[in-house]
Amino acid sequence: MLSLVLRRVLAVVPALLGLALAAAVVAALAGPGWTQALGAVLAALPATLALVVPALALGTGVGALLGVLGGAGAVLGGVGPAMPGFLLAAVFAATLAKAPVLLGLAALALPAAAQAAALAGRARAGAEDTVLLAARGRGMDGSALLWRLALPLGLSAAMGGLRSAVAGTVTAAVAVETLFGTGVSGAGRLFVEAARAADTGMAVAALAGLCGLAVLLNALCGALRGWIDPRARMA
Amino acid sequence: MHGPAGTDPRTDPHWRDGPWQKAGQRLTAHRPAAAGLTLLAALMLAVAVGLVAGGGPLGAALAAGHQSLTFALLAGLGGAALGLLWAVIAVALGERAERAMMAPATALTGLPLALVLPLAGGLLGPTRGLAPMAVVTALIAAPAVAVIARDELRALLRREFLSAAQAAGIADGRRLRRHILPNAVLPLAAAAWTALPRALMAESLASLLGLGLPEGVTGWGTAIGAAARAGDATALAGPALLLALTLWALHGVGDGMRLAFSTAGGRR
Repeated sequence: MLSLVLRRVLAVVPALLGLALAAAVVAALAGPGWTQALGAVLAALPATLALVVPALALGTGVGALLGVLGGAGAVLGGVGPAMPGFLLAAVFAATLAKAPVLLGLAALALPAAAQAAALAGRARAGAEDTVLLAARGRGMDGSALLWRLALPLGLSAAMGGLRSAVAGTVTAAVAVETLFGTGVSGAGRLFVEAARAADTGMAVAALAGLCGLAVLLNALCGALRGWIDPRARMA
Repeated sequence: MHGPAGTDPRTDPHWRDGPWQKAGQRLTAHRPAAAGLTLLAALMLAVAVGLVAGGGPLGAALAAGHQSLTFALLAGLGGAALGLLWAVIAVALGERAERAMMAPATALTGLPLALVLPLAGGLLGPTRGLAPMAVVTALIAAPAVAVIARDELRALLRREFLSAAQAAGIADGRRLRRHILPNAVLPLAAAAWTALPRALMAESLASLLGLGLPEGVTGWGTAIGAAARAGDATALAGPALLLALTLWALHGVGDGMRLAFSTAGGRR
């Protein structure tokens, strides 16, 4: 597991360095204070990370479980495309004047959960007349079937879609940080404020930071999927 | 074309309908796709009616839809064309060029590319025009289209009937015209469709942040952003609902097209 994680993370180091270099060059061309800009972005990234990672983990886990169970999961997966994270964030921010951070987390987790539910439901339907039928034929009962076979299958399928989920969640995190007043202020808010002020150096540095975050999370998710599903280790 | 014995080619739908009718039937057999097509047609009609006889909050939301949908359609078509061009050139240039051209596209799909639009909006300033924003949106949508289109083309080129045509000694031009193109149109259309929801989403996010459509042009995202900042739930309901419905319909039709037309992985 550890070597897999290390390998995946080391593989994206050139991309991360390239992003950092591009951000530094653009920031240095834009103005003199480029070291401060990079420092401010690096200092703000953990706040965004604290928003994105729990939302992704919670959304994927709960979504995969619901998708495997069917029923509510199928409904969630069906309406998923209609609720991108930024739209949910806007709805939550408008209906509740003092929206707590938890609601922002929910706005990020729900789209991820919907996508995971759709993928897991499809994976379960695909395995219904092969793996699951064989297990039933050998006398495996409902709960063992769910926890030992259906959930790992669904979780693996849901993690296959994490690449687009990571990009979507990071994008939505920017909207959440901007709309949810005080309480959450990370690289996303830094990015929007710099873009509004037409501060090229800071905005590009913040965008590069967010992209680096996505690249790193993609690598970690790939390693995690390889740990859960040996079939994915080859890719 | 003659049907097998016992069927009348004029009444049996299998022999009566041409390939395009059959493709349409396959698409509408997928229920979300049929619902999405109906919903999209209804939305377009409603937006047109709202433009003519607009009034009140609902009329304003429908009029905003006109700006959003037009922008998303134009930018999405541009993105689709760019993506298809990217994939076709990559596949046509041979394996090494394909790897070199598709690796950046695949890498770009993992990044939060939609954020480039608010960045461009901020850097272009409040006097930004619509055309540069549409170009940036098209560039955002292109890599994902390119990746899907490349997979479709690769899967199509591996089909047996193309090897058979080659083995039969059919010339390259004729093979391209009679065998590859007719079979590539629908899968590539399915790939191109994914640019539309992507463009609409990128535009809405940027407008919501106040960095999308230029001032004076009110899209759904602009209206949602203004309502969210004011904490006005009633003003938010109309545009948010319309945007959600449109996105759902676009995704439903896109899913249906992938299931009905894809060579690479739809009907597995």
